[in-house]
Amino acid sequence: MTPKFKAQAGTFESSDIMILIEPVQPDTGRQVDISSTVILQFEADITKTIIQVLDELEIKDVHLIAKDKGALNQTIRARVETAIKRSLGIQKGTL
Amino acid sequence: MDTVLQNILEAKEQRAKARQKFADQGNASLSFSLNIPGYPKSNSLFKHFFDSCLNDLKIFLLSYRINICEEEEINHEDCAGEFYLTPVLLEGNEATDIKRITEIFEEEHPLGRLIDVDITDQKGNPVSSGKAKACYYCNSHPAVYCMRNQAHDLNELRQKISKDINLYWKEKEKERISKDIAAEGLKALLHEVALTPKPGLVDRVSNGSHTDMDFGTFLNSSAVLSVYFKEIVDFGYTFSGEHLSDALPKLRQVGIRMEQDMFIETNGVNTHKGAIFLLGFSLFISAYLIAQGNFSYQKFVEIIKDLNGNLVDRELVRRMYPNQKTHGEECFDKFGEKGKGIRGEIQDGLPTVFKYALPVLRGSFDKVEVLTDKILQKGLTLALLSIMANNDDSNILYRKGENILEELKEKSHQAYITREIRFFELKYQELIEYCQVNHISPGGSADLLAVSLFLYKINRRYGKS
Repeated sequence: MTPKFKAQAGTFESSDIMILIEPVQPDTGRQVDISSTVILQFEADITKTIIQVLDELEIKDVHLIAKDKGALNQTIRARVETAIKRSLGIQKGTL
Repeated sequence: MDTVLQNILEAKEQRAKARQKFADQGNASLSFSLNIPGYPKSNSLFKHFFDSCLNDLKIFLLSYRINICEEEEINHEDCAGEFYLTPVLLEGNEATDIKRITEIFEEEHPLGRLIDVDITDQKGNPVSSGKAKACYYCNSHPAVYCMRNQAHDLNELRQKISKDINLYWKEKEKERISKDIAAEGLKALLHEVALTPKPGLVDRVSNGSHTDMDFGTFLNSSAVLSVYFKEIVDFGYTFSGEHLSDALPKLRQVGIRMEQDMFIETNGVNTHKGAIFLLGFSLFISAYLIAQGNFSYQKFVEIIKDLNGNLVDRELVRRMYPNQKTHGEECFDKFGEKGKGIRGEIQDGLPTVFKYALPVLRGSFDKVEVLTDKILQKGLTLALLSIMANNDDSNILYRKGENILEELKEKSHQAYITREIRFFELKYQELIEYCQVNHISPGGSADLLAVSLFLYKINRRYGKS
């Protein structure tokens, strides 16, 4: 599946993560930009969690921006899932 | 997906939307919430705590002249817990200035780690302090790392939070009640001296049988003593010694300092020596019992007897000074049982207060919601008469002798029994004149009256009897 709309999920509160999705041209692949207050210790963990959700939802082409404030993996999963669904137009929400 | 988590995340997005709405109107905003790990995010304890902190926060903001728009504030519980949000007027400040000030609130608050005051600027961006707070639980790592690692057991974390809030709450409760008890102490002294007219005593319009003190002297003396009341009450409220008598040395120290301050204030006139003694014990014992949720007249009597033991034997039979007698000692030597004075009264558990004055006060005040000056005056006059009719005031005994004391008691009794009929004013006036002519000042009864009013008010609010 390919994101059709710009979408976002999450907040800038601590223990949360803001996920922004931007549609890209087909076959440009995934671009994941992560900033986090806990980047030194958890970059790999955050990346792994995000990629996992993208894999499960079979998203191949996307630009995903994550602004993390120490969210737990389950929160990251949920926020990415919601943001992708919104970008696909299958779940209503912000933007 | 976990619906509880989903609901929390949804609630957080709604909060962000509300912040954005204020930003769209050109306003920065301030939010207040609690840091509660796990769920439920709120319960009655957390809500109570939240409400109390919010009240403190509003006072704090006002003190720093930070204006919020209370008409537009949002205050509700959602799935993410208790939440408060309000637009904040920058009025020349930057949002970062406000953030810096609210950080002071978090730092000064005893449970500051549990509370989050967040500032969002006019563009809807969160204003970060950039400071890493230490973990609430271990206090050794940054909070964000412990949280991210789920370093601590959730149940233990929540238990610690509940325990800390309960302690915080207890402390607040203690402050509130202690202030209240201390204030009742001062009120008792003020209402006693303000009772007008009184036989032989200083009141609003007369100096009674006194030439060296007036109404102002009593107000000044009351003010000076009242400064110590909170100290005595705090001591009683937190006293945890095995034996209550262990509290006596400290109580005596405070009492002696009060006496010294009183004499400085009044230029050497004894306005309240008896009151210091009686009220000092009463403040201490009341606070001690209220802290245990166990105040009753009966308990009070048990403790005041227990605390003082055999005062008469200890202080009157055996001499304080080898070569000179105190008035109390002389009186006891001369009149025996009848001359036991205030020590006897205390040793017997304040019978004059409990047997005579308090039933009168209860009869006069129990059914009255607001004790106006008029109602107080009437009830206190009758209570004073009931005390004077029964009190073997050793001061009068010492100065005037047994006959005058008995006559005074009889006249007080006569006035008291006419309380329901029209002769009362006449009888009371006769008593006042009798005291004036004979230069009698029933100061001991006045002290007992103040204590009676104090105990009545305390029992009314905290009592089980």
